[in-house]
Amino acid sequence: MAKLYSENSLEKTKNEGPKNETIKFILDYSKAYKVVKGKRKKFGMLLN
Amino acid sequence: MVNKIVKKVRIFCFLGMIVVIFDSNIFFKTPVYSIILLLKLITPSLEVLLRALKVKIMQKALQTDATLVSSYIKGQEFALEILIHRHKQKVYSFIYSKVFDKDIAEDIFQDTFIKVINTLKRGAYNEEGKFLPWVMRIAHNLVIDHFRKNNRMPKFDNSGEFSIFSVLSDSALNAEKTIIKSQVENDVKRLIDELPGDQKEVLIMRIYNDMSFKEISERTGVSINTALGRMRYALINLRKIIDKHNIILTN
Repeated sequence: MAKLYSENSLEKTKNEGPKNETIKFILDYSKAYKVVKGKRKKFGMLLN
Repeated sequence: MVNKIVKKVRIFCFLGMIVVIFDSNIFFKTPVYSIILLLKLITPSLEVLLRALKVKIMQKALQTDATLVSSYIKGQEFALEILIHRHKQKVYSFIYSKVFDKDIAEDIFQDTFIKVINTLKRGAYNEEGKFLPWVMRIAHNLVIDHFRKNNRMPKFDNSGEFSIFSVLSDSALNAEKTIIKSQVENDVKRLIDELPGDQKEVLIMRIYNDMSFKEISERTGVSINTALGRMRYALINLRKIIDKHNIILTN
């Protein structure tokens, strides 16, 4: 009996990584995110 | 090690330049101009070459995740780039295998690394040589959050002729404003925690519990004037902390 293949199953296996824009956003966020130390607490802030 | 190789490359380029100048006979006609011209030509490509070389050496030198995490905490943003590129496929595939939606997977991937950045920069990460399992755990928790949120939210199938969105308007804040709002609220709460106990108590009762100064004075057993004074000093102290650390609280 001939084997059956479907296009859908092939599409599912195709798994690309995250977009370059996503990675760029994360890296930009990392550069902009600063932590300032208070007396007892730390404050995170985004600096543009 | 990096400096040694950079020195070698510089020497190599310098020698190459000398060979070109003397070989082409230009040097003897216009020596100064030819040197400036060659330097101008070589400098940009040399910078690119050095940068690429530095990247490769850093990648090899900083092999373990633990070393990269440590470098990142010390302020080398470059280390995070390597970590993301090293693990992006595994993390993304894991998320995608749960949600089966590229856009949602992208969002969760992004949120995962934002949490990673926040934790690392706050110094709240304990290095035990388990960076990837830790990141995967964050991703896993965010996937669970995503499904929980979806279960809570009623879904509307917009397949018929009638569109529910034509009669519904969305007055909620967008994603960016929601993040900013929650961040500002968290910052204000942390600032309030920095205040002395008596001032903090009055401020919380007045602002968060919406109590009058009369009620506050009865609850705390002090006069209304004292309660008013504590509130005043609480606000002054908050402003002082904000000014001291250049904290920007805007929405």
